Amino acid sequence: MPATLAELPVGSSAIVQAMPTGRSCLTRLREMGIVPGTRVSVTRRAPLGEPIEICVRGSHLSMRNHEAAFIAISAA
Amino acid sequence: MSAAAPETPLIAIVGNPNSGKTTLFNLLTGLKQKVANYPGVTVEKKIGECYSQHGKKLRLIDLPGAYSLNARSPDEAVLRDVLLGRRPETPRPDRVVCVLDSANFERNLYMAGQVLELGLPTILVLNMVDVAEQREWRIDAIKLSEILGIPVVKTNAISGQGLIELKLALSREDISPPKWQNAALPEGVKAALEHSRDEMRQAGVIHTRSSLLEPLYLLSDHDPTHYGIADTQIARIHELRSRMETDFPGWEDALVAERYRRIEELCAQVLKRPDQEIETITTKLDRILLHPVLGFVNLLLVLGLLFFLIFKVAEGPMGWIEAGFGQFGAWVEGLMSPGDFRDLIVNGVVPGVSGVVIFLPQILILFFFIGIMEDTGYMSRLAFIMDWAMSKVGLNGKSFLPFLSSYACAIPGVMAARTIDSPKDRLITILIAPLASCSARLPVYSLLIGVLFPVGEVGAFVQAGIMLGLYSLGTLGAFFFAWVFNKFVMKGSASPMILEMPSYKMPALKSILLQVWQRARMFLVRAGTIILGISILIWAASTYPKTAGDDSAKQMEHSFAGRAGKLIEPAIAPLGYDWKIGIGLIGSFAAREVFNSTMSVVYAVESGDDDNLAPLRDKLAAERRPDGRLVYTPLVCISLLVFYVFAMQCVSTIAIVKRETGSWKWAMFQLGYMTGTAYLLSLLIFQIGSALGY
Amino acid sequence: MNENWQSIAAIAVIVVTVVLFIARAAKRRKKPGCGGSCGCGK
Repeated sequence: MPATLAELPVGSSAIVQAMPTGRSCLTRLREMGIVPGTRVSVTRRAPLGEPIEICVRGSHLSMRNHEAAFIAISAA
Repeated sequence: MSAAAPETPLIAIVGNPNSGKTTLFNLLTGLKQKVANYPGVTVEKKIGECYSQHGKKLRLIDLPGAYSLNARSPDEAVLRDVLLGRRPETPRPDRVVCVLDSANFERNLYMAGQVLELGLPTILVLNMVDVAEQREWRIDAIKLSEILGIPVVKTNAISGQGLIELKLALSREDISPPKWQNAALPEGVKAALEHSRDEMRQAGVIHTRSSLLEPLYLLSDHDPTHYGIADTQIARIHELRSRMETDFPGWEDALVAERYRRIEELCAQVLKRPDQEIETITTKLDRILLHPVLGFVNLLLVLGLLFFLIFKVAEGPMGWIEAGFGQFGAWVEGLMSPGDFRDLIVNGVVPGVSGVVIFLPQILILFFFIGIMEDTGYMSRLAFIMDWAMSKVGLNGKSFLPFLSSYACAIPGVMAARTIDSPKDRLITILIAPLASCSARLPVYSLLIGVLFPVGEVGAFVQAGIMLGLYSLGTLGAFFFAWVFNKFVMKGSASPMILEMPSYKMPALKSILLQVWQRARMFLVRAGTIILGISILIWAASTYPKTAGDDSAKQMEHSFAGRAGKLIEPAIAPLGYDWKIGIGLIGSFAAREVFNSTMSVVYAVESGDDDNLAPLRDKLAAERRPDGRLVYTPLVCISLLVFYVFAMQCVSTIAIVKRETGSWKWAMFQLGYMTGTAYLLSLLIFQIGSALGY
Repeated sequence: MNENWQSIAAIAVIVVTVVLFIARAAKRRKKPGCGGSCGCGK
């Protein structure tokens, strides 16, 4: 099982386990719906590896690996 | 709008980006709207009027789209401040229309919840119900209305469905504050916030009657510009904030989680959605449009179409504008007897203003195109595909289109940078945009390449190759400087790229055309005022003081412009230029293509228009210095071309950059770094070239 | 006569333009800092 959202393969889903607190860019991701306990899935990856497109709460977002690597996940 | 009676209620329209909020606003107000900027910042302030279903006049204000009231950009700070009543020039709204994208209902509820917490009478609009239906998301509007105790209206801003119901709801004056309990604050945080509120009140940061939410949002302000907060108060807020962070680590994040917990509770009652995501048009289209190969091919086709429209289709109307101005000039010339005033109009005002207005067709096409791409949702896909490449120079995918637009003209490019929400990325994009070789440089490139390699001697291939080289040079320069600014000038946190991928939808043409019209009007007002003034001054500079004779070349030499050319000659001689080129360079600061017409005057060449460069080109190629050497040696031409690639020589762009960045500081910085680079490179080329014996 | 009239008109237009530009610049300079809109009470 991959440890962070950045490593989650395309097409699979997982549950957000933990995110470091007090970082403003991660606070915005939380506000976009990615909070611990939420189910996320990776829809696709841009050809050169970044950004990734994810689906959370029915909304599609994309972000870079740098941010996704902060999001620890566990098996859905 | 300020003349409206004070009892006319002010209704704010708020919502997430991509919720269709502005389309709805445009649908309600039509042409009855005023667009301005909030003072000191480039956030558009749109206020419009409409009549309720009962014929009562209403004032609507379209607030910037945002994901949260915890501001991260000046846009979001404006939203927060207006809703909290913190802006003196904008009264606190009497009612709020909160627009939600039904197909992203859960996430849109986050900011809606924050708005409900404010306790203002609110109408919830579930927009884009058609997209939600495609996804088989069913929202129970009646139940939602019961739970929250406020009107809930389902709309489709594109078809106009639900508009009458919305107008009926707007007519209601009995809307009660929503029954939405404020999010329970984490243990101890409430007491700390109350304490902060007292301190802020004493320091005069907030009003004596403000609720706990005002200190909450000020303490959680993530907007690096701290827009709307006085400098003297920022330190105080920072201090209170770091105390909160030490006492209650992660309190903000806990609050977000608590809000989502309550949203999940609400969704369980009113939202039914399938367990597995349904195949929609969006998922199908994305499989093609975001395909590693097909997506890229499609992107090239879209951009190819854009360039075709800008450079080929716009040619017609641009010709008409030029011809129209030309005819007007000829008409004036025939109407009046020869004299200074006639000369001012015919040779100063008309060519000056026409040289800028001629770009109007390109600007209209560009903004229409951008409007369609944003409205359909393709813009996010373009940013997704281009993000990797842009990230290598420290920008993000959203910078791509404004930069690309600058190849037509930097003015719309700089204006289009408004779509970038990270203030730092936006500033860098604005700073590098004029390095893209705009169409005003094209006539100068053509002229000088013609001097460098007369047609016939070498094939058109070489000419085209040099042209391509000049465009590439500008592009490389832009990427280089973006990287430099990111690395050394604007340090600070790298802005994260969080991009929403909205569902595809049909564009709302009426709303897009309205926005195109607003931009065009802004541009024309500018051309009619500042550009007009500058044209008059430039004419004056080349006309006074006067000589006795009729020789225009002598007159030019004697004029202020000619003297200025001689004055700067020592500075430009090391680049290989003489004072006559100096006049051209000075003239180019009005607009680059003025170089050609100025040189026609300097060398007294008849009919030096863009269509027929040959007489001027031949004259330049034959021009000799007093000692008999050629002026326009290949080395001088190359040095001059490189100068034109890099130099900031466009007053209109400087004015726009000043307005878009809100200060002269960045406009002057840009002028300095671009012109400095141009000078240094041209100097190196000429000096090294001369030393090598060219 | 006619030419004379035109010379004066042209200079008048230039003077008006210069005055307007200076007036614009002066007006901008009056309100520094917050632009009077941030609620700081200036």
